Amino acid sequence: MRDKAKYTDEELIVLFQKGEERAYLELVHRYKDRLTNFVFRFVGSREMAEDIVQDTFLKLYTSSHMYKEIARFSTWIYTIAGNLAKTELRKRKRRKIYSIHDMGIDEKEFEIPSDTYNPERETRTAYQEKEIQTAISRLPEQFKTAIILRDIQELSYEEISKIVGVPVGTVKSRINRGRQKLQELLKELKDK
Amino acid sequence: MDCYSFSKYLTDYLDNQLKLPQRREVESHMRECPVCQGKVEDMKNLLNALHMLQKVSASDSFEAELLEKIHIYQNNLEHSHTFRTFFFNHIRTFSAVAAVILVIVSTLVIWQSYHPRAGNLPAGMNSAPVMSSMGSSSSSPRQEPATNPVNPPPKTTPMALTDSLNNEMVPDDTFNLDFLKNRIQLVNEQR
Repeated sequence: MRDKAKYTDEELIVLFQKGEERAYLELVHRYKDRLTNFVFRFVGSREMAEDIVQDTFLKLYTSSHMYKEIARFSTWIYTIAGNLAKTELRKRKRRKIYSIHDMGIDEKEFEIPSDTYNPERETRTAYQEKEIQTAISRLPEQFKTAIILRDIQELSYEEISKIVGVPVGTVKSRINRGRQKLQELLKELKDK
Repeated sequence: MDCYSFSKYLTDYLDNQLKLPQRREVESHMRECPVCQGKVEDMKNLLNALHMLQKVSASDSFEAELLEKIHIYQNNLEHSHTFRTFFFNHIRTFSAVAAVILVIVSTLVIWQSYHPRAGNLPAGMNSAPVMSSMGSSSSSPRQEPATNPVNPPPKTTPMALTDSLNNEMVPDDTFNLDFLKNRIQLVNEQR
């Protein structure tokens, strides 16, 4: 295998399908942080996020044959992670182990990763990180996905469209409505 | 451009997705409408805050934990494969055992359907011990028959009835079928 950095994601997954385990490890290395950030914003817990991302990579390991070269690898892996995160959230809500909606706004606690916490950054922005995380968690699922992928992960409309499986126009509409809803929620939180 | 049209273009404007003529129209409306201008400012603040959110990275132990999960998965796969291999290698033996069990169960069911009374008798009164005690030349002492219409025998438990029946006065060398039928009928009536 030549220098790993020279391979595209799509080439790496094809190599892994042929049995090259180092290609798998390179894909894990490239995507573990991006996916952890995405899933963390979705579920609000770092531990749960890591668990889900590990399950995503385990799925990649066991079902790599499901990947077809017509799709971009990034959209494929984001779709798997997003689906697993949604499933996990629904499961937890059903079991009443972790229910955001059962709690009042003041009771809601989200982890704020403290290792790189920067108070200066908080003062430079209009909102506190904790408020934003709380507001994101209260967004309807489809708006939440669109906002995280666009405004936090900074993916293009086209990529989001492929990940969530809806036309670009629908993605734009969800982003627009999601942002407005997020603003309303943040205003509510500030007024409390 | 009115405020309604402006709100439709807002996302594309903020994401730099508008073509130049549309962008000019939006900016021209913003200059005339302080409400819409305020909306743009609010939205820019929100997007700025979202972009500034700190990036959460995977922990240092992430890859080690993942490899552990893969290892467990492979082990489970191996075990299930071993079980499947064992099952398919011994499928003839399992089939033979299943067939024998099926034959035994079927025989029992058929036998019971031909001897419904035997199935209803108390455990101690099943045919084998009764028949054997009656047919054998046992050394149990002869007793008076219990068929006494004036003084019916006291009510006893099924086991006691069995014992009494086993000790009945029946000639050792003559098996009286009618007598046995009468006794069973009597026992059922007492029950």
